[in-house]
Parts: sequence; structure tokens; C-alpha cells
Amino acid sequence: MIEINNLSFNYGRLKVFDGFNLQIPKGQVCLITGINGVGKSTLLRLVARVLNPLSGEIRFPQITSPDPRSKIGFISDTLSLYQNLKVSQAIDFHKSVYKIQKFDDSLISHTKIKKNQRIKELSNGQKTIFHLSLILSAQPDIFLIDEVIHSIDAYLRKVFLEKLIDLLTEKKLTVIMVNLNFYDIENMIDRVILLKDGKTAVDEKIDDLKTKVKKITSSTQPKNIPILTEIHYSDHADYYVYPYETNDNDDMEGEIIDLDLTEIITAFIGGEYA
Amino acid sequence: MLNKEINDALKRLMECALILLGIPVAFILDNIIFKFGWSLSDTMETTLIITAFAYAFYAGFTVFLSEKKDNAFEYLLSLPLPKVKILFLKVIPRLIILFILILPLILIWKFNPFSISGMFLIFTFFISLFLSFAVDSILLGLIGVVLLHSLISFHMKILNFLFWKNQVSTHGVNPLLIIISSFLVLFPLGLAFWLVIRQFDLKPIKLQLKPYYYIAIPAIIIELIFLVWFYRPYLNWFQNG
Repeated sequence: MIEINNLSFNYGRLKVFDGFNLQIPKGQVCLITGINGVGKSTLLRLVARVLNPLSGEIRFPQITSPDPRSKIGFISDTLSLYQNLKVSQAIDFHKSVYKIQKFDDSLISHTKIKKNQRIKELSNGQKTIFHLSLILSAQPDIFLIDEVIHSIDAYLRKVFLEKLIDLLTEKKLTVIMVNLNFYDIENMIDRVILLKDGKTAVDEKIDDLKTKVKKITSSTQPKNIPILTEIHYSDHADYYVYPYETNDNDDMEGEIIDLDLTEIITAFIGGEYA
Repeated sequence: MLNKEINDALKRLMECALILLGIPVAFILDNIIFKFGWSLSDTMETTLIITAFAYAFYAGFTVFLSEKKDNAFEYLLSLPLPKVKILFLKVIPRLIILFILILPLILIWKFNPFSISGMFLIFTFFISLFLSFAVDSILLGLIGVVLLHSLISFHMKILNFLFWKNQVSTHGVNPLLIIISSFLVLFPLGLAFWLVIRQFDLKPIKLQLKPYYYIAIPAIIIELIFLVWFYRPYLNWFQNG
């Protein structure tokens, strides 16, 4: 479980979070989304303890080790690794810090990464897979993934996501993902959190969200339903609405269309830019 | 992690060891052109001291070079390692190599590590280390080290005068004077460095330098005022023998 209580954080004069609260239960896969610059990656970095909060606290009640970072795996799109180390040296380094006996090579065995290659010689996708392998070797309880999955090719992405699903089932891993592209991960997400102005604007289970966000294609604007965003065409318009309820159907003209997660998030984010 | 830090420290040593190529070059040039009569032993001793100073500066100043260059602070900070341990693992191998470098000087040329040059070697390492966060450019770092060494020397002169004025015998350049003078400069810098390290995170480094602005810089300004204040009486005392 992750408990974020009354968290505040600034970058100099730029306020990012002010009294932010969030609880994520063990075993939940949570997607954090929002417009660029809203603080998604900052939130992940605060949870990973690579940023210090200005005030408030982030607790991990179920992690008993003195340093919670030993049970947190964190990867971001900056691909932060020692570039001059060879793959074998980076593995030894990671093993010595986490005091682990065996490196989990189940992911890199699918790649052409050689142990005597330097990290800087790997492609971005290879670096990502290698970093994910390092993290999985340390058997984290919490996995924080910031925007990196899409640098991996389709085959390796599939292999990684299958591995992640296994871990979710076996270990009840808690996962927080920051992502703007959801095709591959939609079926494993339990909860969606949309950040706006340093606060939680939307916090819904994915099934509830799919029930509550709809696209209405109509020539007249729907009444009494909040519209997230709208796209106008010559003879009709698409209205993305939230929260939609089934009894809204009664006096509504037009077609009501279910959305996938990408369309839902696009509607929310489009609404913010509108 | 220790292996990586030892490798890094050895890499810095190899880079500085290029200066040692100056030994045969200087020796040959002296024999052919300059005719100063440098002995091989003198040339080796001088070159080793220069190498040791270069290493002391470079090893201290580049203690976080691999993190800065490789953008690896995020990875380092995500590891379950206390910052004290990270610092310890980085500083100890570099200090050991510095000591190994001055070992031939001690053994062959009776170089005293507690002499002025011996202590200045150690202080160079720590000044460079303490400046490594606040200063990015290696040239500015080098200028900073030279200026702070000058400040230490200035402190020694004024303190020598004040000791004499208060009838405390100093017998020329006394190790206690060196230690007090260096402490006066190193303490505020070291404190600022430690406070930065203790709170260090992924925010831009310039947002994390408040301890330098609020502790190190004011302390050095106060020391400069103190030194300037006593400079005229010191000069009179010095000129009158």
C-alpha cells in the first residue's frame, strides 16, 4: 500500500503539489495521467524518493525494510543508468546494492544485448529492457513506471507485459504507471487518476470510468450532462461527456458510443486544453 | 558500488598520470636545450608532486562526474543507499589512491604528509570535493581552489601575527596554524556541502545550493573582512621584521 498524506512540493517558485492526498492499496495497478507539466512524473519521483517533499509524507505501511527503496522499482523515460559500465558490471553493481544472488535475465534473454557491451552502446529500447530486468531482479513490491514502455519494440513489450501480469497475479505487485498511450496496458489497469493543478481531478476504477465517459454524436448539444470536450463537424458534433448516467438516455438525441481508455483520456486532456 | 568507485578513481589517476610523461620530457629537454642541471631525481620528485596535486583536485572535483555525465543521479538516488554511505564509498577510494600516489614521495624523498605541501594536498582534495556541487566548470573549480588556498595562506599569515601579538610562540609555520587556517575555510564549505548532500534530490542543482549562499559565502566574506581589518597592522609588523 502507498499512502500519500498532505504532500506539498515545489520546484523553486513553481508550486506542483499543495496538500495532495492519495491511497493506493496493495496489488492495484494505477494509471496516473494528465496534461504535460501537471506533475505526473514528479509524483512518481516523490514516491520513488528521488525527490524530497517540501512537506507531508509518503508511507509504505506494508514495507518492513528500513529503507523502502529496497522494495520499490522505479524506471523513467530519462533512462538513468551509468552509461560507461558494461552490462555485466551494471548487473554486479545492482546485485551488490540490493544484495541479490541471481539476476533475472528472462527479459534480456529475448534481446541481442551482450554482457560485455557498454550501456551507452545499447539502443533506448535495449536500455529500457535492461533497466526493467535490473528492477525485476530486485523483486520489488511496488513498481513505478514512467512513460518508458513505448520505447520497447512490440515483441519485447508483449514479453514484458506478460511478465508484469504474472507478477501482478503471483506477488500482488502494486504498480503506478504514468502513460499517455494506453493500447497495450488497458486490460491490466484497475484505476485511473487524472491530475489537474496539483490535485486529483478524476479518480475512478477503470470500469466505472468506461461507464461514465461516453461520446454522444448528435446535431444538438446534450442537456444536463457536463461536456468534457466537443468536436464539431458540418452536420453534427461529437460530445464527450462525464459523468454520464444511464437515465440520461431518456431525453437525449443522437448516438451514445462507448470509448476505450485512450479515447477517454484524450477527452479529459482535450477538455483541459479547450 | 565500491568496485565502480575504485574503477572511477583509478581512471582519474590514469588521466592525471599523463603528467608523469613530463619526467623524461623535462629531463631530455634540460639535457639538450635548457642545461639547468636538473637531476632525474629532482625532476621526478617535482613531477610527482604536481601529479599528486592534479589528482587531489581532479579526484575531489569529479567525485560525482559519472552521475553528472551519464545523467545517473536518478538511478543513484533510487537505490536503497543512505547518502552518507554513497559519499563514503566515493571519497574513501579516492583518498586511498591519493595516499598511494604520495607514498613514493614519502618513502624516497622523505616527503612529510604533515608538512605544508602534504597537508595542502589533502586540503586540495577536500576543497575540490566541497566545490564540486556548486561549480560546474573545471576551470572555475581550479580558480576556486587556488583562491581558497590563497585565503588559507592569508589566514596563516594574519594568525601568525596575532599569535605573536598575544605572545604565543609559533616557531615559524606551525602545523597548528595550518590546521586552524584550513579549518576556518574548510568548515563553512564542508558544512554547506554536507547540508546539500543530506537533502540532495533530483531538483535542478542550482535550486539546492542555499547552504552555499547562506553559510559558505557569508562565512568567507566575514573571514575576508577580518583579514583585511588586520592586514595593515600585519604589514607594519612584517616590514619592521
